[in-house]
Amino acid sequence: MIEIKNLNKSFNNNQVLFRNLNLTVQDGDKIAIIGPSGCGKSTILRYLLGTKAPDSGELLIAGQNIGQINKKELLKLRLNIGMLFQSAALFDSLNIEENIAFPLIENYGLTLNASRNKVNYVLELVGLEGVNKKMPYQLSGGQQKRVGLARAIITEPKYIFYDEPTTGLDPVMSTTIENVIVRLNQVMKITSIVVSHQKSTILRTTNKIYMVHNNALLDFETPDTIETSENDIIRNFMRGNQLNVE
Amino acid sequence: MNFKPNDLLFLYMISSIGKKVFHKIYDFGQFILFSLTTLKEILSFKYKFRLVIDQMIHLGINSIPIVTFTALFVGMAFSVQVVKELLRFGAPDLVGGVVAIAIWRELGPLLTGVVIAGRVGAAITAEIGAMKVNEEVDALNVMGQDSMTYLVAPRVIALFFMLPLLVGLADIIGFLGGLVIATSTSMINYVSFFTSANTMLNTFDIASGLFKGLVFSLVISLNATNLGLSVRYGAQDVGKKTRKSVVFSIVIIFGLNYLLSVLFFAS
Repeated sequence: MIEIKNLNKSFNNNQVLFRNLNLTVQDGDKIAIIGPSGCGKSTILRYLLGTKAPDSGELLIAGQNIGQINKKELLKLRLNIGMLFQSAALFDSLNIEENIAFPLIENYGLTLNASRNKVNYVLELVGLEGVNKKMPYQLSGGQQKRVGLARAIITEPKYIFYDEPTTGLDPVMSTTIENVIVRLNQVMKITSIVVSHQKSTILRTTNKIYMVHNNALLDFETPDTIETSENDIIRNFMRGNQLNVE
Repeated sequence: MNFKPNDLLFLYMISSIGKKVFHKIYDFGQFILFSLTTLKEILSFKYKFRLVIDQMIHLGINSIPIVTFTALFVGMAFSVQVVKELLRFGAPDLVGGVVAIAIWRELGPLLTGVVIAGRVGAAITAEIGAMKVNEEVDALNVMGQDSMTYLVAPRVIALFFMLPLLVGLADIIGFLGGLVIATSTSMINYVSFFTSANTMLNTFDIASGLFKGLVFSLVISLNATNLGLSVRYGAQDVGKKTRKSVVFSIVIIFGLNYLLSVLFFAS
């Protein structure tokens, strides 16, 4: 389970990002966090990963408080989390299979040869067989994201975070990525948090949708109810094709 | 209270200077903290030996050509000047010794430090900075790897061992360059050149130059990695931090070179 309790963050110029933000993600949940650009959606993921720290509040993953564990424990905890970055964040100097096998090689001491079967399995899951020896720059943006996803799931994490998984991709590639996420949800039963602007991504890949508004999260909606939500803010927000229309 | 325009201008200037000084002190404090964290990380021996070897090749072995060329031409140019002047004063027997002392004590370590600050320091800052911009550093952390252990420590250790070796190489190449010029452009022969060097140069001169290499390696690697990890705002910031890395390292190297020379040889 993931819990965020009374999260607060403000900046030196008195600009408030979060005020008493709370969120509970039960095991097996697939949640989406939506909201206008710059409202801090991706920052919530950074807090959960421990790469950024809020001013106050508790962040618990599987009962461990991110703010109170030491660096060693944090690194260990992160092995339970997979993350698909907005930019895919592949290592330029490594080829595709080296990128995907990276967590296995560096954390579990496996060799590239010993990891190859698993690399091929996750590449098949994301629909990208046969690109093992290519370099990241030889793939399109959408393909790079799928490789990023393959890397995120190779350690079979309990939790997976998607930071804008389909932003910047053409509709065909967006649908392909969404199909991959839907397939992963069915095959791997992972708890996931999707931060996205794309309406179809949210509706297809999640079962609870939270919106950031006025520095906190509004009550969640489901994909079936969100477009006819009783909350004017959410309903109006969803009326645009792009969710960043306020 | 009524302020005149000149008073306001003065206050503005004082405030701007104060702000800049405060930022410099903050940056320096942050650099010291970063250096201590790196030292702690190195002494914990958690880094992977394989990464250190990779960096030794990348930062050290691949720098051999540029260090060799620089040292060769500096040794030759220096010899041209020394031969001419010492022959004028009737002291050809001193040429080998003067060239050796200048190169081993000062020119070898200083020029190698500057060349490596340009080649390696810039490369480290730009590489880590680009990784920051592309979220690769975050990805590294999320995949259970500490950026201090994975990116910083191997580079610092690698340069710590490689820079003194490069200084030693530059010393030898520079000295040989000086020998070639001295023996080919005057009546000084290589026996006289070597005898002079052997008489005037001692082990401490060689050791002090190599020690300077150790100190310069820490300046370059710690500064470059720190600035690389401090990149925040995209390509422009990468360029800015890379330039800062090279300029800062070179200035500090010149300053420290002077201080170390005073410490070793002033008395």
